[in-house]
Amino acid sequence: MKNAISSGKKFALYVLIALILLYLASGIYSIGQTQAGVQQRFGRITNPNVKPGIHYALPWPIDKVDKVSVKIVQRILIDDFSSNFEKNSAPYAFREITGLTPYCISGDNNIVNIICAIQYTVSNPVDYLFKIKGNERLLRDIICNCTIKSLAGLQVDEILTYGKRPIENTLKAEAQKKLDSLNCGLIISFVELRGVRPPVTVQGAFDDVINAKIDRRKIVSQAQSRRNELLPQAKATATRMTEKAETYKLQKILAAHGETQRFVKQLEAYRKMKEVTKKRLYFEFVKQIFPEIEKVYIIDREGDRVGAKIKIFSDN
Amino acid sequence: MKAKFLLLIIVIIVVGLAYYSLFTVNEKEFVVVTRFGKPVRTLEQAGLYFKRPGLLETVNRIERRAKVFKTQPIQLLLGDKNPLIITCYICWKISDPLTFLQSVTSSDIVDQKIGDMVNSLLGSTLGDYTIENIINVKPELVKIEEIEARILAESEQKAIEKYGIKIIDVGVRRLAYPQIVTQSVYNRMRAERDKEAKKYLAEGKEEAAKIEAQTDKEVAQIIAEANKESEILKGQGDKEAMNIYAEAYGQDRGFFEFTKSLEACREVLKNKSTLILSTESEIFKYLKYTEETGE
Repeated sequence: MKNAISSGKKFALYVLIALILLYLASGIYSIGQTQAGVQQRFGRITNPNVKPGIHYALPWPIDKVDKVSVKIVQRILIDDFSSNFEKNSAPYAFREITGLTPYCISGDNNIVNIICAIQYTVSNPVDYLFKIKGNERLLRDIICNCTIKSLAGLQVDEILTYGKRPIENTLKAEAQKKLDSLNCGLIISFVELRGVRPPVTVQGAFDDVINAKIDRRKIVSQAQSRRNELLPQAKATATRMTEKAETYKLQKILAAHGETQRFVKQLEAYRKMKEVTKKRLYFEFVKQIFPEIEKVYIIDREGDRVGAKIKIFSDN
Repeated sequence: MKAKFLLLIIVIIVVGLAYYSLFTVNEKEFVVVTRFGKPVRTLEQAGLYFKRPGLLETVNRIERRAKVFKTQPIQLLLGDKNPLIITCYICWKISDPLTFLQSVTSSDIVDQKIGDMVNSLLGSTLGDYTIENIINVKPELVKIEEIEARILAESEQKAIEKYGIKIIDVGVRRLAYPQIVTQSVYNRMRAERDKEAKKYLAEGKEEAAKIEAQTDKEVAQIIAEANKESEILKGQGDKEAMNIYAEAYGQDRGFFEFTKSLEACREVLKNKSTLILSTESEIFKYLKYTEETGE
């Protein structure tokens, strides 16, 4: 009986020891590769930056460890100035109150919709945990604030086209400055402007400008191609004209040479026997020409009879 | 056995006392200890503290971290009577826990009160500015930052006195025009774009016209040039040919006339023409003679 009691006591003792050990072991904790830990004893920070690995802290309620993801890049989409009307989005809430579609105003008083994509990481776990409640909200507010301020000094054309990079850079710098001054414990690693566009109702007019630019280029290039077509054509015509003139010149000269050569030869012969040659040439001519003549009238001048006709060499 | 039992009771009492009188303050909070509603001390340092056990003293935990909220959109008039809808974010924290505890009960009420205060400050401050100070193509004339700084400075004072809180940042969260103004802005934007589009088209047409005129001019020039050159060439040909003719025909004018007249007649008398000749002509000289002589 006494044995049973003592063995029961022993068992209870073992259980007690096991419980104490378990309690002490509950202080073992691990910090992941992407995390940092903040260890506190009775609420007071004892180690603000526990590195990844296995660590020991005194068990509850003495020590407490808060873990923060520091190396993981977080993303938020700031659509406060867009016309994204999903329920619970910022534009939806704004429209509920004011009946307006949210937007941003440019320096030259144009209305622009804009969406901002932000990437950030926790840079200071202590600030992140203990200085600000709702760090992401604050980040949103600050980005919106910086967006309004930077767009308020710019022209709409700049915002819509080449100004995006500079805006992103100022946004990043300005917002970071503000976050630091408020001890937010966040660092912005990347700012990207997306969906920067004029409101839907005037989008058409903006598209018209783009089309007009294209048309301008088209009109000019049409004139240019007409030029490229007409100039060679004119040159070809010019060449043809001069070639023709050249040919004319050559023909004239050659013809003159030929004709005169013939004349000179005839002249040579003629000079030998002037009358005979002249006559021969004449009769030759007559012989040649008369068969082609339809009618020949011969008039005798000595008689007064007019109209005496002799028809010769008539086919009929 | 009895001693053991006593020890157990003492341990239980000590643990109980510890449980009811020890408390921690962490880095996220202030603690104001009150005795039946009356504050006795304020704890601003994190750590382990004692108090009178149980209901004798109460621990009031007060948020130490800064928090941020948005004001309700409000329509205000600028100094030049331009209406503007404006929303701000306000970042504040409790700087005097005791005053805070005594003045208000929840941070939501504070939000509302501070929001109203900032909005009324906005109303009076914006009267000193015009729309050109809000938006301007010259960034150095945009005074939003200055407005924010003024509101922060003025609200800071009031807030500390009234609620034991400190406003650490005020910023414009959203700017908008009332519906009717927005509509007119849209119309103006459309008109501006139309003008720009037309300008581009006109520019294109002008440039094209220039190119076309230049082209036409050059084409005409090329043709005229060619005309001139070909006339010169033809003239040269004519001249040279004439020289050749003159040189050759000049050798015997009579024979030239004879052969040329034959040639001319050959051309003229082609194709069934009718010829009237006198009997005196060369060809009939002998024919006539025969008639007269009766041969």
